[in-house]
This record gives sequence, C-alpha cells and structure tokens, in this order.
Amino acid sequence: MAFHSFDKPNPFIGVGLRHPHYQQALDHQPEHLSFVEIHAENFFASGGITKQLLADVRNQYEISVHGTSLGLGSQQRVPPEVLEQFSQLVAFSQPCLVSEHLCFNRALIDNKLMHSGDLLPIPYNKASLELICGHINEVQDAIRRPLLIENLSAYLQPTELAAHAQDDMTEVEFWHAMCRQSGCGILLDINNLIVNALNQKVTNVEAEVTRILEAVSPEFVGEIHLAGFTDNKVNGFIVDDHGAQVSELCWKLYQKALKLFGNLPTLVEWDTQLPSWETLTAQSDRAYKFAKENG
Amino acid sequence: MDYQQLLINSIFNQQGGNSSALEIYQNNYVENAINALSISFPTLLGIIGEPDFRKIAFRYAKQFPKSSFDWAEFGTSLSEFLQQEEMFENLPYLSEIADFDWRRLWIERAPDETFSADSFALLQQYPPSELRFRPAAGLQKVEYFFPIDTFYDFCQLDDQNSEQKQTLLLSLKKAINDAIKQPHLRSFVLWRHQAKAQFEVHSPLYCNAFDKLLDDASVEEVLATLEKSPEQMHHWLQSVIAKRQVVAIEKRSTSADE
Repeated sequence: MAFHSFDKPNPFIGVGLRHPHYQQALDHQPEHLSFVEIHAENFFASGGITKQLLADVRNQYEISVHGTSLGLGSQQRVPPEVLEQFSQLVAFSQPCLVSEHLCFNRALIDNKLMHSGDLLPIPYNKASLELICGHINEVQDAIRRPLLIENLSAYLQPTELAAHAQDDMTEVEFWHAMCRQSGCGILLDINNLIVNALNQKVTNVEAEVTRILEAVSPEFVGEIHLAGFTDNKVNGFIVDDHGAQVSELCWKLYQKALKLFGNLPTLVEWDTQLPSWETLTAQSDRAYKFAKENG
Repeated sequence: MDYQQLLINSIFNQQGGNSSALEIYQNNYVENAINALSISFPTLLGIIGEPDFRKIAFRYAKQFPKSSFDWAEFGTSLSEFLQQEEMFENLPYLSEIADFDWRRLWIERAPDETFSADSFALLQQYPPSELRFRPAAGLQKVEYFFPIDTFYDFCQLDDQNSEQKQTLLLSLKKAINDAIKQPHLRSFVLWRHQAKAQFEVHSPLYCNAFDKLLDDASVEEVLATLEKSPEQMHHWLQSVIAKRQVVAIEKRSTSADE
C-alpha cells in the first residue's frame, strides 16, 4: 500500500522542523536530508509569516504534515472548521506524508468541550476501533489520501481510571484492524515503543520491542519515527519528551526495523532542549547511513 | 462518566487520587498552557517576569480550560481574567498589555493582503464617493489608558541596554501614575506590515479618519474627516500608503452591482 504521494529517493530521511531552525533549514540543506516534518497546528494561521515560511520550505524540501491535535480516538468528531484548516494546510503544502496519532484528547464535561492538548491513550477494544476508524475516514475523505497513524507512548492504562475500559485485543492487533478497516497506515515510532517498555518495567526492553516489531505486518507500515528522551524521570516514569539525541537502543532497533520493513521514510524528532541544526542533521545523516547500508 | 470523560476531568480539575501517571498528564496540561501563553503574551511576560507569569498562567488555565484545538487560540480571555484577579488589582495596566499582545498575535495570523500600487490610479478615474480603501491585514483601532507603546519598547530592550532601560523605566512609572491620576484614553492603530504587527499612537483627528476607513466608508467620507486641514489630509494619505496601513484602492460595490 502506498502512503506517500510520489517516487521517493532511497533512503528518504527527514527531521522535525521546529521554529529555531527555520532559517538554517532554508540556508543549509544537508545533502542527505530529503524532507522535513511540520506540526500541522503551527501552520493553521490563515496568513502571515508561517504561511510564507511554509511556501519557502516547500520549494526546498518535501514536507510531512504531522497533526497533533485531532485526537481521532475521541468520542467527539473533529469539528468541520478544524477539519477544513487541516485540509487547507494539506492542499497548500502538498505533503509527501500526512500523519496523526492513535489517541484521544478531548471530552464533553458538563456539556462543555475540554481539549487537553495532549495525546491520551485509548483502550484497544472494538468500541475504540469503530470510533477511530470513523474519524480517520472523515479526515481521509477530506484530504483525499490515506493517513499514517502513530503509535502512542502512554503513562496510564485506561483500566486504572475506568474498569470497563478494557482491551480486547493487543496493540498490534488493534493497529492491523485499524489499517484494514480504514485504509490508513502505521507511523511506527520506535522511541515510543521503548518508552512504553521502560515504563512498564519490562525486563528486556530490546527483546520486547523486537517482539512487537516482528508482529507488525510490513504492508501497513508507512513511516518510522526515531527519537531520544532525557534521563530525568517524573514520578518514576520516563517522559517521552524528545529532548535528547536518538538513543543507542533506538538506533539498534531501527536497524532491525529496516530489515523487517525495508527502507521507509524515516524521521528524527527532537522537540525540547533543541540542539543546533548541525547536531540535529548529524542524527538524520546517521539514519541515512543505516538505511543506505540496508540497501 | 466514561473513561474519556474521567481522564479529561481529572486533567483539568487536577483530581484523580494518587495516580502518579495521572500527574504527568496534569502537569503536561499546565506546562503546555504556560508555554502557549508565554508565546502569545510576550509583553506581559516581559513586564511581570517569569515567576508571576507562571502564577497567572496557572490560574488562568484552571479557570478557563482549553477548548480549542490550536494552542494559539488559548488565551482569548486572559485580558478580562486579569481585570478580575484580586492578585493584580494594584497593576491595572496588565489587562491592557494582555489585550495588546493578543491583538498583535492575531494581526500576525490574519489573512494576507497584497499591496497594489497600481490600484491608487483609480483615484484619477473615479469620483472618491465610488472608491474605498482596502485596509492592511489586521488593521484596527484600539484605545488604552496606559502607555502600552512604552511597555512594549521597554520589553524590546535587552539587559545590555541597562542605562536606556533605566531611563525608560522612570518614564514608564511616571506615565503609569499619570494614567491612574488623570485617566484619558489614548488611541492606537495596529496593522501588519512585512509579517510583523505594527502600531502607532494617533491624534483624535487622524483616528476619526481611521474610524471611517474601518467602517468601510468611501474614500470621500474618510477624507471628509480631514477636510478642514488640507495639509493634514495630504499628510495622512501619504502616511497610510507609505506605512502600508492601506494596501489598495478599490471600487465600492453598490446595490446596483449586486
């Protein structure tokens, strides 16, 4: 299944483009950097500097649009005006990839919508599946192309709050069912798998993530995310802060993923405690090297 | 409540017992809210400093739960909130600073308007009663009691300009006292030029012209507000074009057109 809209170079490596790097990204395009990922909501403004910047970036790089606020697993539908903003951004930026997250983020409390602005876990059951597939289809219909849905790092099991919010399938079974039912693909975030395994106090993290990677059907995977995290634990949890270079374990598992899935569009994320543009793109160079070795 | 409502309610109302996992989501909401507000309200942050700004943002985030999808839309009621906060009743200018920051943010996000030099030739072709000014992106007029322009200038100075900053601080204190003792409204015109929100203080005479312009009046009606002083009319017209406060002249639609 093709989740990208063109014949991509091989390897096809990108980085998350964040505000402090805008100018350097335009001035210094590294040889092996093919695309940049933007967070959709940062470019929702109807005019002004961000729109101009997006036009400039589009002239130099392929763009991946990564939504962070649609919360497609929420009970409430995405409002038409937000869907319109998202669709307009996709139409304007002509991205090579469009993605969102496997999460919910809002609910009606006392008849008032509250939007957490976060990526919150959903139970892996049939009710969640129906809900998210319906919302994925609405977005796909609006943008007229398939979405990639990113696996989540989660600190909470839904049953900790509500006993009825039980899983009735594994996470990977849920991904597969979601892809079959909606036609979307998976954005496989290897760092999220690592963070989850660490927070679940799994004895052998590498083996656990490898087990998950081997369980995923390659036909559904459309992109890979790589990232690192800072060592500071909060309340005993590793926080998925994308605040450090890609961890060595993540690199190791990336090489396994390349063997399992072939060379896929791969993105290095670094969102907090941002490094220099050179340090960031040295990470994407490393991803390029591994992908090149894979063939 | 179902699971999703329980989790959202726990995040916004900081409830949920002793769950350390829940605390991460609760903290994320607060920190994301503080971060979003600090981006949207840079002058307010600069004037009160980070510790007090965090207190304001925390209280605001609790009282006005985020409902928008875009963090940039979070903060719409901050100005009103500051007016009502007892904690800041001795700092009455904060509400106006927040209003100023919010307007600047949305002016910078307003739909683009393209300057058309050629369009001004219409002034030679049609009577001014049939023409209108096309305003710059986000053009608006607002009135404040406090010297918002000086607050803004103060925040633009970095600590290396300590002498200049000290001088400005003294004039700021005096201007604040004057505004409290003898309150009178000062009119500001805000607009966007070259991607950045601009502003300037205007005399009542020029403000009348801007009021008319923003009211979609004809060129004739706008200029009529300045007709007692042809020199000022000429100056105003030159100025609004040079500063790109208007970007074009266009034919007004009339009922006959429709």
